[in-house]
Amino acid sequence: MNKPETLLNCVRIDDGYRRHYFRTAAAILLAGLLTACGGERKNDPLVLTDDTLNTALTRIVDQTVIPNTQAFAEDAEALVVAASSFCNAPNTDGLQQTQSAWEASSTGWYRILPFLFGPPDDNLLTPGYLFIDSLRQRGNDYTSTIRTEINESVSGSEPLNGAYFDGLSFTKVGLLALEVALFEDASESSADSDIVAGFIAHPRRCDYLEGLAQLQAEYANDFYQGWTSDYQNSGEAYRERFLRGATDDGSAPLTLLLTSAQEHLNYLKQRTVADQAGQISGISSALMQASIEATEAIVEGDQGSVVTLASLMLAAQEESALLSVRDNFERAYEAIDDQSNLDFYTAAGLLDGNFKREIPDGLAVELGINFSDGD
Amino acid sequence: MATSDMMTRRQILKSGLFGSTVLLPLHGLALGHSSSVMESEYWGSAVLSEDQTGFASVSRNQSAALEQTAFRGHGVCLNPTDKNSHSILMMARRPGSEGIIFDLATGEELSRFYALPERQFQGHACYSEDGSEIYVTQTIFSPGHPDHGKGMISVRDARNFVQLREFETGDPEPHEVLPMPDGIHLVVANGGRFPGQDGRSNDATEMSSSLVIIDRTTGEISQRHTLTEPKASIRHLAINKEGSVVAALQVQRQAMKDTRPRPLAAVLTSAGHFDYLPAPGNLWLGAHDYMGSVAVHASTDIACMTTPKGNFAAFWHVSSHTLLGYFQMHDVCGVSVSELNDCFVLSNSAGELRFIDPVTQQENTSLRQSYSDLRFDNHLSQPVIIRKG
Repeated sequence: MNKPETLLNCVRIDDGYRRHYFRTAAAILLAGLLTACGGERKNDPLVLTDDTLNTALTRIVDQTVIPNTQAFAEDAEALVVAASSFCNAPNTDGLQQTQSAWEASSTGWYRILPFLFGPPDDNLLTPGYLFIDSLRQRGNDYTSTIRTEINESVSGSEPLNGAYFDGLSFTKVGLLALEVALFEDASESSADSDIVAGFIAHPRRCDYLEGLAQLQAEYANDFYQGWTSDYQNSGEAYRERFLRGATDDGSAPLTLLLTSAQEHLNYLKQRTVADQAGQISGISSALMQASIEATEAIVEGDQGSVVTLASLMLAAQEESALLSVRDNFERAYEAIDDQSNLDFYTAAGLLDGNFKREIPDGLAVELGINFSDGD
Repeated sequence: MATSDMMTRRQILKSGLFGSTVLLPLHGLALGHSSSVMESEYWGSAVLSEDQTGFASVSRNQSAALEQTAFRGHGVCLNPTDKNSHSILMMARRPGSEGIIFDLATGEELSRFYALPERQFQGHACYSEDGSEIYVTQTIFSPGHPDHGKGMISVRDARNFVQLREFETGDPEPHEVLPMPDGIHLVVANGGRFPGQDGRSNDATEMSSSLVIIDRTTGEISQRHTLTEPKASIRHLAINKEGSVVAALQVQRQAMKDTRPRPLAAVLTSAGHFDYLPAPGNLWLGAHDYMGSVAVHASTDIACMTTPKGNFAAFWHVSSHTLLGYFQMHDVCGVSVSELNDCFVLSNSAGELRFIDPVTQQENTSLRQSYSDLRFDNHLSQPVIIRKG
């Protein structure tokens, strides 16, 4: 079988998410597509077929979705370790290391958000993702609820064990609860010395922090295991089910992927997420950056992919549609760089439209007739 | 048991909410009753195919009679006294001007009728219990006239389709109409939005949605019911054996200032009490403000409601107002019943029919039908069993 990915091995990849890499890759693709890749033989031109679409889809799963999910699970576990280490001897260095670990898991989560199907969304009524990200439900900010919960639990006497955290509503756990616990003290001071003093004065704050981190790590591991090992006790990894079309609602895998990405972009705009996420820690821009990069990887591929949705759109002579998509990704990055949330929402809205129209149309994929119009 | 969106995940999973905790009139149904080889069960639906609009009757994965129409169809209904001729009426999607009678067995067009001047059909119709009359939802379309947008029922002679009379529905945008079991009254879902100048777009800033009970002969409105949510458009209906009316709702979010999920299902009891059916907030949230179709399985008194935007169907026990569970299916909208298999039938835009046990909400995959060249539109007709040989 042809291995067109080797074409891009000469392109240095700093972190796998740099948008300039995509530009470089796209330029090489444009130059090389007609002679180099995608068909049965080495020099066959790339064409849009069910097989090439499946190839692109498989690579999105294997090179983006699962690695992102794995990274989040590892970051969540690293947060558990950092929190435990910090709580053994609370000090400023330990706090900052734990905060860094939280930031890593948060940005990791925003690389998963465009893929909310399968393991993180395995139950219509209480999907697991809510217990990581309460904001994702409908943009409600539960900071006040969490502050009250932390203060009451720290001053109470109930054992802060696994059963306690298992019983908490999704509004009181996850990344936001950890952010509140790590980036401010009981009086909402964000000074490191005040926060550390709070942990020293109230050891139950450490119990609370460690319990939250542990719960998050368990969910993150569940997501990863669901993708790679066993989904809903079926004995089969969701990866296999997804790629053979055995999705929960019978959606075609590519339809599910594009719809999930589109809903994510709509969520970013409609819920003004850049104004709500990562506010206490001040990492909102990093979260938006991670999220857009992960979304862009759906189109442009990752880790040197050649058979991507973008290259298939080009093969289908949908250059203008792809140009629109790329322009809107660029607009999103510029808005993040400029720290203009308004422009970011505009870009997210335009990309939402791209995932509804230009991308599925360019790939000859139908999302469903009832999906967009009701009566 | 409370089922709010504040319940924890583990509480929900431990509660067995979607299990056997609800005492039902009938215990589990056996699916897949073997049917006579001489019997075929047909359903009709508006369809889209290769960018063309039409009607299709489908049965046993083999016969998909497709008749093209110049318009996109919507509601489909049977003449209750005319099953031998297998005739079925499909109305044009709103705002429409035509209704067409097809032979369900062959797909052949039998006849058609048209809206009168300054009237727009609204997508649904029904027959009287004796099959002599057809009731069609319509609005007055006369921009600038004081009556513009007024909801009406056009009563047609079922033999020649001549309009016999028309009467008001009390609120704008009447959508689905059904005959009540008493044989005297109709129930009409007034969507409540006022029509724009093009007839298709609607203004939801000032809505007046209602569920009304109307004397089919005199046009007298004997009951008018509303819901607490003013932006909930009451649009689709089903009736159980006791005469309770289950309503599927469509919330006009663009005219609202908050994002809190709203209930999308309601029931008017035979005692005249109209209220929402319960469900956790996440279920409403997942439905994206839209329930597209509803049917009732008579013997179990279970209602099934579909949401193509949420890709699932939800099930309630009507009399006890209890949520039973859900079934996920991409772009599902059409819902009917299978008499031969004693279960619900769901359809979607991928041309699939799936057969769902009302009690367990599990699919009998051995009955699955697929029509790869068809895309079923919003609604699926009641079934007709045709016996051959």
